[in-house]
Amino acid sequence: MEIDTQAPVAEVPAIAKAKKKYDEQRFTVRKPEWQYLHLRMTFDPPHPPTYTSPSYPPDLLTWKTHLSTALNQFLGIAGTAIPIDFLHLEGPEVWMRFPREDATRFIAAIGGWGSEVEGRNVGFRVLGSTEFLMGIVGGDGRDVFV
Amino acid sequence: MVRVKQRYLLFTILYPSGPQSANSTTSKPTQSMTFHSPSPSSLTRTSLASIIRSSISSNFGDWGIGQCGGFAVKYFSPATSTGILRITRDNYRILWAALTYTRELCGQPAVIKVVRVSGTIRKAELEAVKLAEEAIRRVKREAKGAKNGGGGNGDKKVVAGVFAGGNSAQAATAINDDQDDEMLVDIVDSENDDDK
Repeated sequence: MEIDTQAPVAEVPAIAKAKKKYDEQRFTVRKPEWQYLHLRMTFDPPHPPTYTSPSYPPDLLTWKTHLSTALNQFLGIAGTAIPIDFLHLEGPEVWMRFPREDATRFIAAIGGWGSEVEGRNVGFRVLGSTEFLMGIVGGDGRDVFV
Repeated sequence: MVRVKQRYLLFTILYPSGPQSANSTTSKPTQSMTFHSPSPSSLTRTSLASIIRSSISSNFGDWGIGQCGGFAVKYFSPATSTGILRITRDNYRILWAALTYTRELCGQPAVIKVVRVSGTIRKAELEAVKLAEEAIRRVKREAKGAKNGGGGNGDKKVVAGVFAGGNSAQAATAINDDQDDEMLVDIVDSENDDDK
């Protein structure tokens, strides 16, 4: 009888301790530093498939030039001051990041821009825009948590 | 009914080197007179507006012009290099930045300093009067220091001349003319108080 009554009393703090130790932890990233963007440079009329030339696919300097032109037109010098990091270049597509606070105006500036280069109309298409890199590299990100 | 809120920016133009055209009238300009010297006569309300607009355009692009291209130069006096701009309240900082980034006017280096941001044009005008008074007092003090004693009656003429010049060179609105008359009275009164 004594053992029955005392055993649970002794157990309760142990269980509480264990629960505290393995309690679920939640953490929300509220204001990430960067905005990640997946962009494609569009050409009209389009280049034939497997076409290559010194000017196609565009290199990073061409990207930087065209982006700066678009930003300068829409946002002036303040727009060209937005720092851009190019993360990856593949064909006519680029993956890049810039400060999250500038995301709205940046996308507005490049989305409304068009120009004629070498007889083709050049523009940008936003293929993806997210606050996290996983959002534009493809996949559902499940492999991170294996 | 929602009221459109405005901001009035009182600004002064400073000339670090002094405009070339202004130095001919004064016999020996003091340092502060050179710095706060009158603007060239080619600088009018309309030309000032176009200069500011081009500054907004180069610094903030199409978006900046869209946001605060609707500003108005309510008052500008080339004699005192002082003016008042009106802009919607949400966008006054863009206009302020564009003013700050202006580096030259009419081909000579200049700095536009925003002295006061106000919700009513009346307060901006009062501040302009205060500034003019201070400028005149400072010039008098410098002149006294230079030749140990200055003229008493001549100062009133200087004040009257400064503001009369501002009115004749610049076609201000009727309201502004009334305000300018008040300014003149205020300044003369306070100068008399100082002399006593």
